[in-house]
Amino acid sequence: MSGDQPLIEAFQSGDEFAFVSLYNRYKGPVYAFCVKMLSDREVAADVMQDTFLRLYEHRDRLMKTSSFKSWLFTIARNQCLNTMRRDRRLVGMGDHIAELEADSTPIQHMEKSERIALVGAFLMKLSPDYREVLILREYQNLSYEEIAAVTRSTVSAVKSRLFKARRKLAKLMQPVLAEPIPKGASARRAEA
Amino acid sequence: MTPTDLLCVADPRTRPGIEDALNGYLDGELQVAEQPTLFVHLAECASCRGRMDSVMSFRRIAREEYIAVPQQADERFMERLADLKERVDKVDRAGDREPLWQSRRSVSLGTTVFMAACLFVLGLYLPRFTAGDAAAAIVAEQEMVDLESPVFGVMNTVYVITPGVTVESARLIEGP
Repeated sequence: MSGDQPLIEAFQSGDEFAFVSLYNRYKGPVYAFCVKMLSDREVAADVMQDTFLRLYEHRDRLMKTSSFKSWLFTIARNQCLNTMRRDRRLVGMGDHIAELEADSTPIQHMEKSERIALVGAFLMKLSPDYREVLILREYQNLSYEEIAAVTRSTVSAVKSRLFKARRKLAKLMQPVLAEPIPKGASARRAEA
Repeated sequence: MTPTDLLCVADPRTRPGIEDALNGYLDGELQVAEQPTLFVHLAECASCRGRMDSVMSFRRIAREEYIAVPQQADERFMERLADLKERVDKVDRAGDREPLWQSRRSVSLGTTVFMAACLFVLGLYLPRFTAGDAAAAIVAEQEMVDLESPVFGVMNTVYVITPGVTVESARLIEGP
């Protein structure tokens, strides 16, 4: 994001207002990332706070603007993975998914909140490795290079994981994307 | 890339080619010159179209969602930040202080009361001196001098020190 560098420099030299400005600028994306990773808004809020507190504590490690966003998401990602490991929050919406999937309404005809809940539920069905790259790419719009920096891997590894994640996601999405056969149609077909 | 390279994502033999092209297109990385080939393939292949529709639908729905940070989270963060600053400041001040043996520190009331209580308890267990004990101690240190017997000669100096009695003379003169 443009204009980060002066804020980062001011923050490093002890300007508290600069830190609050950075917090206000990035709290939304970091919180959204945590919500999608953990599927729990309360825990996500705690993890978001922990992320910025770590940023405050380790301000001396901040080097340049281009890596700031990646560095921030790296902290958030590590905090999320630690939380998941601690709470074993790998798949947290099993019952909710079953309920949503039982509904045969195609996704195009669902209410906005239902669509969002269903997509979030599909995301939680993926492993954390796949989930994180999908969130960083589709929700946060990070480039392959930025995702590689966040996940501490190579661009080719990121591409490979992203493609696999999309393949799995497509498998989950396709049944709800298809128009259902109207009731009675199969019976009429049988009579014909 | 030719249309024959892009058979179908469902076909394991050709999957890498079409998958790369499809993902490249979804991420804005596919060259414009290669896009028509992909579109021709998509027009013919329902499986690849389904894959693309799924990802596009996911992306559209993902971007419909607005996730706002709750106000309580902001307030809680500011509280935690203030606590952290206080801790950091305390640590910094500790580094600036003089060594313990060169500084005078204020002691809290609680610590003072505690120390007084400790001394009191310690005092209860210390050995006590009674009047008899004191007399015995004095007797032990007394130097007995028999003043009744005749002393011959001149005593220049006499010192009397309580509780015992000590008689010293600078010189003694032998009696007759």
